[in-house]
Amino acid sequence: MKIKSSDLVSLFEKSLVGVPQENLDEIGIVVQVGDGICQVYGLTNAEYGELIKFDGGNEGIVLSLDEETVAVFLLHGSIVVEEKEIAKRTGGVYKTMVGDQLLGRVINALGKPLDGLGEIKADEYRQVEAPVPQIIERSPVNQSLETGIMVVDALVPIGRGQRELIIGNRGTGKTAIAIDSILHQKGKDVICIYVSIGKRQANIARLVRMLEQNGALDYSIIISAEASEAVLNQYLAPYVGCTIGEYFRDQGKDVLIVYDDLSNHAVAFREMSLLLRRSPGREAYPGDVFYLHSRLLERAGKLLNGGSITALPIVQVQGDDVTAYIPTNLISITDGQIVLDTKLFNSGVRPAVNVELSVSRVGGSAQTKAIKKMTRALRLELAQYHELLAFSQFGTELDEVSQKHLARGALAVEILKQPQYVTYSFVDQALILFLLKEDYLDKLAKKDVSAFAAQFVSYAKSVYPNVYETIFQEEDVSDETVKQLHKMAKEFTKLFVPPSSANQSSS
Amino acid sequence: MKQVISVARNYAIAFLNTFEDDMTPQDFLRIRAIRDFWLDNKKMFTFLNVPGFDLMKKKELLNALLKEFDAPAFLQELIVLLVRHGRASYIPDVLEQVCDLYKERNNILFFTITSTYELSEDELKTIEQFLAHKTGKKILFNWSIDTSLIAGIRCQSDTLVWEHSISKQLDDLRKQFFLQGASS
Repeated sequence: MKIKSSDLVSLFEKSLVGVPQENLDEIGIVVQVGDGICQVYGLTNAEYGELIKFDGGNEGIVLSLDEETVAVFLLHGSIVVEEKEIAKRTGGVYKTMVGDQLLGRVINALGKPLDGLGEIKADEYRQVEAPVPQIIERSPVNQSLETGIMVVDALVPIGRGQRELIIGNRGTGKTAIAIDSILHQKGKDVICIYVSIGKRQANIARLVRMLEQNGALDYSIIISAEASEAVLNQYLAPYVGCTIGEYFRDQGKDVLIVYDDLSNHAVAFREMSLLLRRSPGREAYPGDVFYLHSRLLERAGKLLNGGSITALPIVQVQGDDVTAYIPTNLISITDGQIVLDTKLFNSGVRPAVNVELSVSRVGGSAQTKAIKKMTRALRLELAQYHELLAFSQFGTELDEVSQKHLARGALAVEILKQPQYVTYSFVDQALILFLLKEDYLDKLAKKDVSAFAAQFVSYAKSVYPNVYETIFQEEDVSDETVKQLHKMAKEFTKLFVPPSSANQSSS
Repeated sequence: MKQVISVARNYAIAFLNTFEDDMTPQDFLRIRAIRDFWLDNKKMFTFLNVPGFDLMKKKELLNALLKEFDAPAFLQELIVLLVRHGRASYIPDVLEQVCDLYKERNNILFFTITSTYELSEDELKTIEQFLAHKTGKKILFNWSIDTSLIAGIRCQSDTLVWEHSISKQLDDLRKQFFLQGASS
């Protein structure tokens, strides 16, 4: 930034005519600095979470109060804090900027823009550690938040205000589910916030480019606390994201927030706790690691004013072990989990959602009626399929009924496969699931199933737009509509040319 | 370190329980000055810990030092006691604890007032009244000249500071520009 000398003079003059401060500042003296943390002697009245300003220009947050000293975690790694430097109380807790100008921007946990698009003007500043909404202010989760991912919307539906954990091994498509959900919110008046904790810069750059290309950046905010940043920033990032979400929620808007991922967040908190010499507990995490995430995720929810925050926390597990400390904590805090399976992923089932372990505790009441009607038996069919699949692998000869279950399950698995960045509206999903439910896919070859479903949706949209529109408007499939769908499906079955046979004939 | 402070505090409590009524605010200032001198010249006093030296010789040195500071006689008794107990290295900590306890018991705040020129009695009185009004405590102070302030006054205690000076305004401006520069 270039500063004109005339600006400097006028600023200096302005500060000189300023009235002397009325009160005395409370101060402390830095007695020890290291590892992004400093011990300050004095500051006798400092409060937990209070923002402290150092004479050298750095800032920090009080995270431990001892008899003689307080421990302050530093916010800016680049500004040096020296021994014997004076630290002043500010009397307030750490606040972050919130406002409409944040939309489409990439910021760090301190609110500084990382996208090179210039300064952001804050509408207001809010405390990052805000109290959770009271019971009386909350409303039940009764409105669906479509993710556009069929397996999720059909089997583990997410409602607005719900907290749905995405859990899985490294490289099983956890972030992909969250990103697809963000992409699907285009034109749905949902503000999306993506909080990246401890990720690589390259990943964030790729994500930003992808959101931009798909026109999703306009309604999104990205908060990035990279792996190389101060541990305090990684600790603060989800709270900052949630605070920004609360700003929009208080305006009656719906917000979708993705915390990617909370296992890194827990690791950052563990590092801080060990530096503060707090007693390590299970897996060296401190005793209050549960509270770390419960107080964050309790801030999600649907309010009576109409606004909501839907949280999609992500947690990474090792060796598909969902019984580790942090995953079990998060499973108990959230309203359900989407479990991603490495074996499914490697066998080509994507999204690799393990439907037996995945559950949505409140989403069922928010699921669109149209989808609900089409998926009544789907979970059971898939469960039977996976059970029988284990038998069939032993080479056991199966009876006709079992073979039918296997064939049907295989079809269901096939139809629930979905490429990344391709999302379906709930009407598309209802139409595809109708084909599965009413056995229109049974006679098709496995490789033609996806093409049949996709072409049927296009056929319905173009030839029977009134039926499509009726389902969209009513969010339900009436008996009358079912009759029409049967008619459409029969018509289309006759018209459909499987891509495999078309290829053969052309060659 | 905690153990040293704890022992030092016990000595300080015993000392004040015995001599607090005889101690004046001026004595408090002298004790502070002796503590500062001791901290700056720790090596000078290492021989106090050597048992081979005669206690009388040690007393002579302490007498000479305390006389320089016009220290009260009861302070010498405390220091000699510490030397006799083989705790000469505790002396600065004990003196610090004496100061802290004395301030605590007498509702005193000690300030260092810094200005760019020699302040008059009236000016110092005004500053003292201002600080007493703001803190609700009895104010003791020493003052010094510091031209690096450029113009203005700075009053600082262990836990409080009040400053209105050109150097502070410049520093605030520097921080403002630094933060703007960092965010752009």
